Amino acid sequence: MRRALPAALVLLVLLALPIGAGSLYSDFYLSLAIRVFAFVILLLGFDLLAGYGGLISFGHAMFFGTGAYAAALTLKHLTPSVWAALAVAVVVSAALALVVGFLSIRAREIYFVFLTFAFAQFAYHAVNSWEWAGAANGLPGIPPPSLWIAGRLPVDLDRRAVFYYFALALAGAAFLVARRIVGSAFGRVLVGIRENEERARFLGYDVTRCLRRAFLISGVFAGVGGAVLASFHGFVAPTFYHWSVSGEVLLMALLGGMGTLVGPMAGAAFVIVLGDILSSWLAERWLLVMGLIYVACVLFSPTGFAGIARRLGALRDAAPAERAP
Amino acid sequence: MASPEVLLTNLLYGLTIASALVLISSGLSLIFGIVGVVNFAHGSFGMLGAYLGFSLVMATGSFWAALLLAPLIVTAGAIVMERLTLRPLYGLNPLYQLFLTFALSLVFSNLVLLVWGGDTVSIPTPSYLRGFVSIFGIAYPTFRLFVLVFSACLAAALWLFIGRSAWGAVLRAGLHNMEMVEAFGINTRALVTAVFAVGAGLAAVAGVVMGAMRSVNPEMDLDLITSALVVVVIGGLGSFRGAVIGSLILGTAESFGAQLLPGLAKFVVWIVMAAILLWRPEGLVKDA
Amino acid sequence: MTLLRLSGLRKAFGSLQVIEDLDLTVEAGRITSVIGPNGAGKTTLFNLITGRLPLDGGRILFKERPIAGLSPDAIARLGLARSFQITNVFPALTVLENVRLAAQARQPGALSPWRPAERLVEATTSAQAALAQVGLGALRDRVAHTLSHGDQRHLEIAMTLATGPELLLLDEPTSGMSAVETGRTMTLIGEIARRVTVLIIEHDMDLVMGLSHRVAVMAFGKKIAEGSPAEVARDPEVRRVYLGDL
Repeated sequence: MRRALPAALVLLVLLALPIGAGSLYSDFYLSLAIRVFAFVILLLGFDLLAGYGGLISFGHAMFFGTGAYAAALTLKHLTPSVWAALAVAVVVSAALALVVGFLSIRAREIYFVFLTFAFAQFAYHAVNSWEWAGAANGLPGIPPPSLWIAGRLPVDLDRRAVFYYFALALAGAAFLVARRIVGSAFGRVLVGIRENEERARFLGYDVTRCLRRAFLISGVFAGVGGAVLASFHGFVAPTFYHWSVSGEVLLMALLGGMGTLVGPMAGAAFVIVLGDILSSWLAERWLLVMGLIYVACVLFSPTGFAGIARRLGALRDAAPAERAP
Repeated sequence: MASPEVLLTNLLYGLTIASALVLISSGLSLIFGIVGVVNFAHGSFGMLGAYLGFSLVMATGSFWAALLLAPLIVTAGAIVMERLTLRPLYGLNPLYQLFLTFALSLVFSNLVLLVWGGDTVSIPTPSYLRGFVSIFGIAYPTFRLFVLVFSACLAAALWLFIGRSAWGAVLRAGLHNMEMVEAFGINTRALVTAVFAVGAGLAAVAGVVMGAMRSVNPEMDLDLITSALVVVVIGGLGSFRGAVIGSLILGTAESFGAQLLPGLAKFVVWIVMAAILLWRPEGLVKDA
Repeated sequence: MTLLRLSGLRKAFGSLQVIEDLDLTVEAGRITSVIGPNGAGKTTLFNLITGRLPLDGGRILFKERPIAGLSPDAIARLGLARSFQITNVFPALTVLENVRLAAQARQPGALSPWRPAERLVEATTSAQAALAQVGLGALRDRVAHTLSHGDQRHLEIAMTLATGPELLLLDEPTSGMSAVETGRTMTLIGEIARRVTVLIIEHDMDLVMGLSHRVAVMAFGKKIAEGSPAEVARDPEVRRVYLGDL
């Protein structure tokens, strides 16, 4: 268990983070961390589909946004229970993933990329024009959610530290579930489909059905991520559905290394923290610089951090011997 | 049901949109056909063309200078971009190209925000292209008619070029099998750059005319790339004919959709696309 | 008992008639071979049987059940497994994982997103049995694409075996193999055939003659002869096709 120690350290730091918040450093870092947790859940979903199933979605913003809006509408109109909000987010994003999956999984590779992108744009235009969803302004003033534990003892999630632990627990649970799925019989079949779809089909696997199911699971993860962020911020806007979210997801996964679960999670944390640093340094120029960094990343290391690490490893291993040409 | 005049107006407007869409989507489709790259920054070429066109009209006072120069500047930029960023990635997993072009579109859109600000502007048109002309008994905006004729002529020229010229023959062979073209000793790198540059230039032309017809805004890149993608998905990737057919379908769907189902206009596009994909998942046209 | 019955099978690619009015039966427990020169339509025949290509006409009955029009995965789940002429494995997965995935396919819980793959004990057991049978037990942890060509061919046979099929379709199982490997493979097929019905396609006539109970000969999409190996070997038409081919 070489990885147990770093994992324990990361967990310890995450658990201790709220202690110094507000005194040693600004409360703001907790918000940043909550944003990371929401994206971690989204990225886990993306990685299940793209890293394991081999289908690159360029429209995961639509599930993220749908989860966010479903949670927001539930909190605003039905109940302040965060569990109810999450449940509705799961159901609605699953329903959307069923429909979009049914239509898009007929296609592969770049056609699949297009289709998911097009459907996400459709959803983006939809929330932008639907009055009951606040149209272009979104829905502000969502009441702070509460957390019922064991049917009593309502805990208000409006305190940042409490929400922090809630989001951390959810992200942790999402990771465990994702890991379980990856190690499951179904997870192995997904990898088989990614490696050789035709062979999987001739072994007797209904490839379309498997990929649709992966798409469904992936969409639900993304929806939960969106629900977490919306419940925390207390507002939703069409920006949840914006294609730059889908692109960011792809970026985070690529940087971290797809098909590893941990990689895309690290990628999410890296991109969000880097974005925060850049935006405080560079004011409105930060997205431009971020874009240039992305370009540099893909040009100089097309395989992400994982690729950089592997290259360093290869250099180290090759160092004593003659370097191959 | 609408009167014949309204139908005709819609039909003309649909054709107008379609002809501009051909200019945007053909570059996207052709570059995919020869090197398998989907350029998500293709919409940015249109937007950059529109903003450059706006500044050029402001500086020179001439719409025609803008219509000529803005696409040339974008073409030059596209050549640099293709050489520096896309070329090293050909043949790799399409994911990297997808991601690179996404990052580039982010760079372009923020560049536009920095240089031109976030405001919506419109490109002034020559006075003789304002107002209305009368065709078949209806009054149609002169500028829209100009866009229709101008874009259609350009599209026809492109079609003739691909179908008749020696370079066009090489391009058609490349769409079919790039390795074969290489085996003939033809400089395929130059071919790819040329297709990329021409595609970018045409997108910029479309950006200028669309910007003058509607408006120029920082979300324009997204609208353009979305429409272009829908066109090529409907029509079939890597096919000029497919781009034309897709544009006609999307253009008329948009114009009639706005008329018949106001409020749902944006959705008509996707309903049409979903229907076509259910019927033919690989698009309508499968040729090179 | 007849396991597979093809009648009046037809397939054309454009104007080229690849399979013309073909009848063939495969009896359970036998080794049946379809031989013919390259281009005779043999692989197309397999592609029609396994649902990779749609039929133009004719009937395919597997266990007296029509299977034409079913998807390849549905046909595979009925117990009809195939290998490919060009090695078709999961190149980046280990040898064991390749075969385990195959063994898992027809087990209950094969698609459970919750049950750990290792808990499908039966899949692992039958995967290991299949690997032992083809003699790849020692290489189980190697990544498939690092195996020699011959071993990859055997891996593919192990995969088809592991699905627990009733009928095994082998498409030129020895293509690209050395003489030694070919001998080993033919022995292996003989052993497998004691438990599973086998249909082989092969262009090398001599290879399958000793092994097969029944041989059908194809040329230009048509069946030109059928019978015991001895009968087929005596057939003047067959001799003409094969000598012409040489």
